[in-house]
Parts: sequence; structure tokens; C-alpha cells
Amino acid sequence: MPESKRLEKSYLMKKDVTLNYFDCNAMLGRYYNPVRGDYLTASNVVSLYEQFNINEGVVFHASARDYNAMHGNELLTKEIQQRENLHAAWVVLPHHTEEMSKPEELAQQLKHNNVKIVRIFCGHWHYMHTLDPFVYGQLFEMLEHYQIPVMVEAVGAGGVDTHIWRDIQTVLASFPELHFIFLYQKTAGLNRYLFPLFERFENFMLETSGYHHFGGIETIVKEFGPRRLVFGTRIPYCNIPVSIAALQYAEISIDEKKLIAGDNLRHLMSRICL
Amino acid sequence: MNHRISNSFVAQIIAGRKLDDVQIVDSHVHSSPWGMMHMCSSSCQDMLKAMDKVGIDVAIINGILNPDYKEEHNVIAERIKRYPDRFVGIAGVNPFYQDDITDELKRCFDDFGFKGIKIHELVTQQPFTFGYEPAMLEPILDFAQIRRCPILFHGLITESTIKAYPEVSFICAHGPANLEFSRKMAIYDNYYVDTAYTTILPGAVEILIKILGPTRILFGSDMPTASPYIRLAQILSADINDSQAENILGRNAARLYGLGNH
Repeated sequence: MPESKRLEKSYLMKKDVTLNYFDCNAMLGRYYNPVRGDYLTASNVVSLYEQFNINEGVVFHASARDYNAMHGNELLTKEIQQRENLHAAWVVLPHHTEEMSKPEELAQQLKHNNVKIVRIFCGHWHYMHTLDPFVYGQLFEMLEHYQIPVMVEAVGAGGVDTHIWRDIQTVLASFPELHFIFLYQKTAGLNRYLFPLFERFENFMLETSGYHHFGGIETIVKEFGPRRLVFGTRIPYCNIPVSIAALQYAEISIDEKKLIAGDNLRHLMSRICL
Repeated sequence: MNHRISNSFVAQIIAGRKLDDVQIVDSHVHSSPWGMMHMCSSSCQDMLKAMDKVGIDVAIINGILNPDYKEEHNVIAERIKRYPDRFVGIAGVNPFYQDDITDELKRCFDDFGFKGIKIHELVTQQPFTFGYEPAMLEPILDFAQIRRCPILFHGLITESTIKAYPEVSFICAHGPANLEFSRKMAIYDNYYVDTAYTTILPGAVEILIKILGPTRILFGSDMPTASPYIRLAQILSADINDSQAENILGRNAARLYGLGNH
């Protein structure tokens, strides 16, 4: 096919019906090992979303993950001011070491800064390699009380350690009204851990960017329903077309795609009662 | 900052459309499930459905994950017999079964029409690494040299092997995970990579093109352990033009395996 015809076809393709995407996983700010030697600003993210018809997104700051949680959260809040389609996810820690406010005070800070979702990192090189309620309990109580969803990222060098799976199970059981969105970079081989969690805990959800199983989305939707998956791009670590393609090609109904593409996340973030 | 869209296929992938104006050969597909991970779907029909949906013309299938490779070769042979235009078989023999190798390869190539060989390091790792010696590969390598067929490898192949068998095309599985090895092997014209890898970071495909050029990279999905849609999107969302994409998606594999349309 001639190049001109291909490009014309490409242009026409772009007008396809949107699934009203709401990305739950984008990162701003400088980080240690930049992909392509670059990092994203709020302006970059907005531009990328426009390019790929993503209506809105939840963003966190790299400094909040790698350097100092509250410092990074403050940088984030400042950077996304007046960006109506960008929503802040604050990285949170337990309060005991005074790196973060006590839960009730933190709740007021979240309210004041219009933060409706939080993020916890429990990989090997993150703040705490545990989710044990012994340390996180009071924080989760507050989040459950106010219905603030939690994104849990368990990226680790060797995979997800057994104790983290146990912690996840304990936390899901202990806080049944708190929704956890699990993020992991390489979910190959994790179905044997994920499916029991899906089966037992309605409050367990999975972000899609790291889930590359052939037939995986279809199986999860069929076995556990379409409300258990949340669309994420993982920019800058992934190119946006990858996550979009995963959903577009999935053999599920358009209504199911719409839920996963954005409505599940919208529903979660609208339940907050701060 | 916009994401640089450098080829005309990206829009089709984003729209979930079939790529019907380009030859696509998936050079890394497994015929069987595997104990090490649950696969949501591994049936021939499901794979064909996915291939039809996205526009994969041919899948090069290996059965290396089944320790009973003879049984798996029979499965692959049936699949090729049923769908001769859609599947090409490559033989996965185990170097530990020395007495078997040449006869089994002859059976695969002469009786079933297989066109390549796969070697995988898991045969040396499950559950012990005891007893393996590189010389065990010689019957396999000699066969490939005589038949001039490609070898898809996951470990076990070294630089000296690639150098010693210039008539054999060595395809390193999971290319994006082997950038440093590829940098060293780039000087050998018979060294190739496939793209089957879980986490292809933005920029990795571009680096591979810089190292090897666009004619030595083969699209591979690792289906059914992974989704071919996602793997295609990872390649096509890279900063590559139409010609480079066409080479990677199908032309290179078609040339190496002697398929049509390259």
C-alpha cells in the first residue's frame, strides 16, 4: 500500500470512538534511571494524553517515591495546579517516624489538597518492604473510613516476596471496605497468586500496564467481573499505545472495556467521603 | 512533548484493528503450556483467533517447554498439517539425549517439514545443572549447518559457537533483555534477535536497531505466555519508520525461514 494511503488510513483510524480513558499510573519528575534520558512534566503528560485521547490521569511524583514522600507530594501538588485532568496520588507512609502526619491530620491534608487516591511502595528498594497492619494499620483504618483507594506497587528485583503476598491477603481481609489497586511491572506467572486474591477479596483490583498475559484480561473479566481491572499506562516506563492496545484487542464487550478504561477508577474516586 | 509516531501502523494498533497490509511473522510462539506459569489460554484455536484478529500471518512454533519433545513435535506436526499456511515448526531437542538428536531432527525436518531448531538453557537448570557440556550441542549445530536452518536460542550459545558456524543463523530469544550480548555479537552477520520480552522499555527497540540494523531483528511475542497485541504495540510504538517496521514484523523472519513474500 502506498505510504500516502497508509498515512491517510492512520488519520482516519484516529477518529475512532474513545473509551473515555482514565489513566491511574503516570509519573512526573526526575528519577534515577531515566528511560531515554528524559523525564515527564505535567505539561508533557497533558500533551501525551491529548495525543492518545486519554481524558484524565492520576499522577505521582518520582521524588515522593525515591527521595522524600512529603517533599515529592508537595512538588506534585504545585506542578499540577490548574491542570483539571491531572489528579494527584500522594505517596504515603505510616506516621510513627514522623515523616508523615498522623492519620487524621493526613486526612485533612489530603482533603485540603484535593487528593483522592494514595500510593504505597513496598518493593525491595522502597520505603518499607512490608504491608503488615502492625505498621500500616492506623493509616489503613483512616483510608478505609474515608474510602480513599490505595495503589500498592510491589516492584522488586526478584519478584514479589512471599511475605508481601501474605501481607496483601491480611490487609485485604482486615480492611474489606478499602480498595487496593495492585501494580506490578511484570505479572508474568503471577496468576496463581492473583486469582485467589480476586476470588476471595472484592476489594482487590489490578492495574493493567504490567499484565501481559495472553487471554488474561478476558479470563479475569469472565471469572471475576470487569470491575477488578483499572487502566494504567505506566508512563514514562511504557509507551501509551501498549496499554491501549491491550484493552482494544481484548475479547470483551465495549461496556466492559469502558469500565476498565476509566469508569472503575472514576467510581472509586467518587466514593470518597472526606 | 508528544510521543513520536514514526510509522503508519501505530494508529491501527491503538484502534484495535487488524494490520492487514503488512506481512507479520511471529517468530517466537510456544505450542504448549508450561508448569512454571499459568497460561490463561494456550489452545491452537485461541492462538489462531488472536493471529487473525491482529493480522499475524504465520507463527513459528516450538515445543521446548514440554520435556517430552517427541510428543510435542507430534503436536506441532498435526498443527502444521491442519494449518499449513499459518504455522511453521521448529524442533526443540534436548542435548542431554545425545543418541536421539540426529534422528529426531531428521524426523522433524524430513517427515514434518520443520524449518528451524530451538535450544533452551532450561534443560540444564531443571532441577540440576550437573553434567552439561557445550560439546553436547555439536550434533544439533552440525545438523543446522548442513541444513542451513536457523537456531532460536535462549542461553547456551556463545560467541565461539556463532563464529564457528557461519552458515547457521542464530536468533537470540528475548533480544531486549540481551543488549550487551547483542552489542558484542553484532559483528557476526549470522547473529539475530527476536523481540519476545516482558518489559520492553521505551528506547530498547531503537537501541537494537542501532546495534544490529533493522534487518536482524525479528518480531516474536512469546505467545501463549504473553499477548501478541501487547508485543506488537511495544514494537510499533517505538521510533521506527514503516520500512523498519516491515522488516521487523515479517520480512526478516520470512527470509530466514524461507517463507513467501519477503
